[in-house]
Amino acid sequence: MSIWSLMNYAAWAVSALIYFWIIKDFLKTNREYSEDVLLGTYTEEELDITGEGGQG
Amino acid sequence: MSAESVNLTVQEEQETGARLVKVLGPVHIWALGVGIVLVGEFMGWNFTVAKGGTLGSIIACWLIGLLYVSLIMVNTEIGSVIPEAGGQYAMAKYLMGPLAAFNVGVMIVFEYTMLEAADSLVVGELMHSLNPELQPLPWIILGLAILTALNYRGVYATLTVNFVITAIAYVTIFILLFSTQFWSPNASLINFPDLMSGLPYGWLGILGALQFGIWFYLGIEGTALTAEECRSTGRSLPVGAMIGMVSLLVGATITWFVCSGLVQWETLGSSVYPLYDAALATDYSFVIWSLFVGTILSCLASANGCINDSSRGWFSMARDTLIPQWFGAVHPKYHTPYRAIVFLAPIAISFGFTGLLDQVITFSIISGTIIYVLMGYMGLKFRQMYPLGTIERGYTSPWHPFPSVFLLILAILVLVATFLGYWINLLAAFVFYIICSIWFVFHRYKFVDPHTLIKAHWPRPKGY
Repeated sequence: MSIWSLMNYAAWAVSALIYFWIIKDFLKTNREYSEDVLLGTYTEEELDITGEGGQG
Repeated sequence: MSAESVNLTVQEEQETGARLVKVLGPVHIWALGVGIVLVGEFMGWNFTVAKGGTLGSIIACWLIGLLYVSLIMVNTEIGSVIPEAGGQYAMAKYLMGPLAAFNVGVMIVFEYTMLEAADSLVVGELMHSLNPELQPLPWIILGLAILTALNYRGVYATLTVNFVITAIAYVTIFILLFSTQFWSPNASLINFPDLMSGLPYGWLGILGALQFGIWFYLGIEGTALTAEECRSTGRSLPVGAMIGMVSLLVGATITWFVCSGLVQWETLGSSVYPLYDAALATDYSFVIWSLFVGTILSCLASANGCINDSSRGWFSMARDTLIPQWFGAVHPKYHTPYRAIVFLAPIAISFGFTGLLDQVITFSIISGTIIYVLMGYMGLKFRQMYPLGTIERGYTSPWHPFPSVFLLILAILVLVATFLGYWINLLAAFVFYIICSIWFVFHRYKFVDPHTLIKAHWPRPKGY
């Protein structure tokens, strides 16, 4: 097997690991927090309509 | 400011709910806008040469540049009073109502998701060009996986990375320019006598070139999609977007100059990687490798910015109840619209699997151009509803109504040019968006909560 074929397999493997981490964290987050927290709440005061924005 | 410093405590999260954070400055806005667009200078723009010759190409470059300068002016003025994620979608929501907003939102999502798929397709092809044994698909998937994870982890890191790779890709264009010794007519590699090929297909060629001239700038308007995440929307958005637009105008003109001066116009018009082909013509190995790296980085920067923008569009529509609200969740630790990011990833991958680069990119361009037409209209309507002095603007566009009128006329001209070359694609896009509209009106509209939809309480518009 050539180095190039190995690189192809490595790319697949790394991709699978990354997607596994994303899906794991995705499911964990959905499970640990309530929908109210995840969806948040926005009020008129929080949206600075003057365009100056909040200074983070 | 570090991303960590803005992390909310767990207790605060429980009290207020997870939300996007304000961490972005003008540099990030520049990185987002130029990052998405720069790939169009490495490929695609050169089809303007096939239609209009080198003269038609530079005319299209500057005419479309005028379209985008107008767009940025209109976009930034309206965006500076709507500090919500969603960009043109949020503007349509306030100025045109829920149905138009829904359509603009879907167009944004498709414009960027398809552009992301096209970018990853090119990365795969470039890897394949290194060695025939390197298959494109694993590299397409790997590129998308890394960028999706980056976007999932946080907007600050995502756009900081985008700044670095975009800046490197941008510098490679200057490396190519200076390698030609353009300042010395005797020693220069630029073929000055043949720089202008005239208009091989007359003035109609310029019209044909317009649709490909879009490649020089497509996506710069995406800067407005992160309005909610800017430390100071009124400053970051105009400064980042305007400097970005100037960067692109300079980059586009240099790209046209070196490519037209180094490559015969007939060859240039059908090239897949025009800047890389121009680098090959210099015969300097450092320049050739620089442009190869620049091409890959520009694709990655574009895909990275596209994931950022498409997810903000989808997230905003969900938060406003135009699509199921479930997608409007924010990650409590990373402060990103994580469900929108994860949901759109397989869609981009599936478009990447098709391998139909030209079809994918054409749908993206058509979606973007329809938004530009609507933006021209919204620019006029915004000034009519809220004349100067009635609402505080972070930025006021000069010479009103010319930017809106130019935008409207030029965007319609691009659609006409697209119709001449790709009428089936244009028709298919219109049918698709009509079907989406029917679904929205008859199925989704009853779930829309008007109090959730309109958050900012602006003063009553003039005449209402």
